[in-house]
Amino acid sequence: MTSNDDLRGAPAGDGAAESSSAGDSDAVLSQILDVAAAPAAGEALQARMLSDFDRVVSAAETAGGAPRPLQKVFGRIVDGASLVGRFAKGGALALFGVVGFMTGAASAGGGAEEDMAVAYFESALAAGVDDGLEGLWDAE
Amino acid sequence: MRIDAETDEALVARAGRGDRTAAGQLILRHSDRVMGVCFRMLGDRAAAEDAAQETFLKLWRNAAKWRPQGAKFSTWLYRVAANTCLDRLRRSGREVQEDAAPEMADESPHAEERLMSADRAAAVNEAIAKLPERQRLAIALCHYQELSNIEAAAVMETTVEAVESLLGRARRTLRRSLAPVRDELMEGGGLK
Repeated sequence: MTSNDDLRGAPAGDGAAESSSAGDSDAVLSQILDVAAAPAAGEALQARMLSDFDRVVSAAETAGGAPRPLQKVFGRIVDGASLVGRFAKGGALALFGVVGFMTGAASAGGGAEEDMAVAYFESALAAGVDDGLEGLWDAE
Repeated sequence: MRIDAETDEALVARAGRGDRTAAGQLILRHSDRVMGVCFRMLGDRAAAEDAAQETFLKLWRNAAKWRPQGAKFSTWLYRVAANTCLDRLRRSGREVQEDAAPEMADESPHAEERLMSADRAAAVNEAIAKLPERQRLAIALCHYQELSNIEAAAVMETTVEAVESLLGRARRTLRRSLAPVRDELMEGGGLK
């Protein structure tokens, strides 16, 4: 604790005259000062410091943008809109494919083909947009 | 990279990004030293704990925007701790102004009685507490925290010569105030 030469070995300045050996006197003083060690921080204080850190981080997150709960709600809204978009896109493609297939089948003029077209159309609707779309391309 | 090999500056940067582990490492590294400075300045454990906690709170609030700017992190942290203590002393009206403290020996009969109760550390702490605040801070930094005079000057935002002067006056005052109990302190501390 007392390895500081600046304190122990330095001239005693305006106090030097009062001692025949200022350096020795400083060394003795250093030893005396070492009797009184400061208390350590301790785990309880360290825990309070870390708790303060958590509060500051939490407050910064709240102040730095949308609070977390709102961010979650906003995220869900975005997710919902995206899902609707995907559904609409898939439905449009499925309808486009079915209509195209039926038009082609009608132009061929065959009754059997008409029945097949209707069957494909019904199966596409029944299977749902995404699955129906895949099934439709396979059927074609 | 192991976290205990990281520099203080790197840990502060991570703490500024909300890294709890880095904050914990900074606490482990520096809380005892900050506590030491605060205790020397305030002379009371509970007050020192509050000041040390406030010092770290200031660190957390400034971690995200802290930049070295040529100063070591520990220097900055000590400065925050010292200023926190000085603010508290001024608010409480307990500060001892420079040149206001008499450099007189404590020759009261109670001085030796205190040592008879084996509370030698308290006697030393009391002598330190009677120093003017800047002298007290110089002793806290240079003696107890083992900072060089150059580092202490950076913390105290003053010159090396000023620190040397403060140390010289502090030592002279302490020698005088502890003179009546010096032998007991030396014997009691096993220093002879």
